[in-house]
Amino acid sequence: MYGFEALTFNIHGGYLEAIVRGHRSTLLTASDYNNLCQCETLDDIKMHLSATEYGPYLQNEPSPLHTTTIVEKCTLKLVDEYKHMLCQATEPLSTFLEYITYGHMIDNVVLIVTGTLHERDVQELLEKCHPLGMFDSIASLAVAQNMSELYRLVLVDTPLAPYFSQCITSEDLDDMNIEIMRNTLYKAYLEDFYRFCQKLGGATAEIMSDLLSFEADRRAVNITINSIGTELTRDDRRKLYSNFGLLYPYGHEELAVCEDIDQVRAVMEKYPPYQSLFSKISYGESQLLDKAFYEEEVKRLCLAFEQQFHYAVFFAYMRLREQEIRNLMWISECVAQNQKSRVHDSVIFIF
Amino acid sequence: MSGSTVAGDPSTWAHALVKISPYTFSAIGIAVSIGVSVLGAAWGIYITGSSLIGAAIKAPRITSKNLISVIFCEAVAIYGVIVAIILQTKLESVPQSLLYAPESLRAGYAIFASGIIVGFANLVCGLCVGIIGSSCALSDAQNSSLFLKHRGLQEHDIPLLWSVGVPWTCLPPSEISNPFLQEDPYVEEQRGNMDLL
Repeated sequence: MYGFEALTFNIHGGYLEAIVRGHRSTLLTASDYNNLCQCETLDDIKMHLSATEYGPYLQNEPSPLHTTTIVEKCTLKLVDEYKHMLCQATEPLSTFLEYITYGHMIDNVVLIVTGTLHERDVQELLEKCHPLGMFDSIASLAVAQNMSELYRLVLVDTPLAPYFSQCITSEDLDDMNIEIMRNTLYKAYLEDFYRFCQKLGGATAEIMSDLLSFEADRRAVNITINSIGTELTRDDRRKLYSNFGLLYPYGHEELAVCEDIDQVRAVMEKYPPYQSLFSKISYGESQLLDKAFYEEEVKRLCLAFEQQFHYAVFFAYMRLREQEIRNLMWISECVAQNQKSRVHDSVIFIF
Repeated sequence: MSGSTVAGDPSTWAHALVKISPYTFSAIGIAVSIGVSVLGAAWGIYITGSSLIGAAIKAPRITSKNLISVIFCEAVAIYGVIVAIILQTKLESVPQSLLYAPESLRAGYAIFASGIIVGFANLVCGLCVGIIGSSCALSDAQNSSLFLKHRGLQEHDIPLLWSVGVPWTCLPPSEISNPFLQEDPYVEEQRGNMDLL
């Protein structure tokens, strides 16, 4: 019953909600980012980070540091926190937490399949996979030749199995098909997650449907922009859009026929929440679009913390941590390549 | 007057209700007063306690200050106990002939009403204090200037006023004819005789 969750939420979720809010208080602030942006070398970055919560994870790294090491250790911290919360959680929170990682699982599957296609070594690919999306039989993905084998041998035992019903074909895997497979899987995953949240009801459903709608709309725009000029037909493009969100169904109809960025902008400006986003980008530029979307996402995720007694705080925390790791990666790369002037191009302050 | 003339026809529901002993009503009132109050207090304490424990992991400094939320919830249970004790002192034994007298019935209903008011008011009060305590603990963990210092008025004095003061007004005043406090008529006659002396 919406409005009365405060009476019973704390039975199963009170402790974990308090823990995730404690983790949220350790996200890096603007002053931390300012310190980091002024670093000269990666060792300076390590020194600054050792004063934050990342300290225990970075202190044993020998110099010279690589940017990938920093990112890896920070991701390890996120994974540890996630596993701690998952162990403590009961249903339905544990299912909710698992849903958060399916996106990473999809990315890992696509990574390995693409890497195999380009004749890379499986071990090397496994090291590049995101640790949140690992599952047991992931190494055997390298054996599959086409999609139905992929499904039959490996994926039928994973939580991704129900998402495959829409994209099993007997075609051999090549770059185009793999991208289509990735987007089809992601569409099925988002719709499934959306239905699950609606079933949970209450504040969780309301806040998560807002966050997931934004995600669906963002993916629709990115798919449109990335498939301009490729041989993806309009119908195929239309099939990759999710069946919910602010743009569904009329915006999708219009986006499917777009041929360049200005047409996309014209479509998006009919929707007030996205109009303000697109007004920040001048005509003809699409590089800043990513940053604008990330900023909007961060704003909405921070708002999820304003309400108590719902599960969306967990989702919001994981996404904000990932954004922070992206920020750290950008800063480290800029410092390592001596491009400090571009540091502020892509760092998004969370608070 | 006996209860049966008050209610009329012997086969109506009103007659059945009137024939329930006022001791039953009083006992239920006292039981609800203490039982449901403690239920409300316990519910409130678990709501606030689970958040407090989780938040104190990252911010141990909040534990001592936020115990006050738990104390306010506990106070709600104490009010229920106090009113239950007061109510049970109002019970006296009454001779069988006066058991269904209207004054006895009224006294029984009065104790029942007082108990119900206290019990359910404290249930809701305990819940609300618990929810506020949980939010307060979480926001204190983020930023210690957010801790509410002025909750004392809201959470202590107002529940005290309503859950103890209001039933007090419902209770039958002891001076007027409360048959529960009336002496045995034989003894009263003796006393009356003694006054004449």
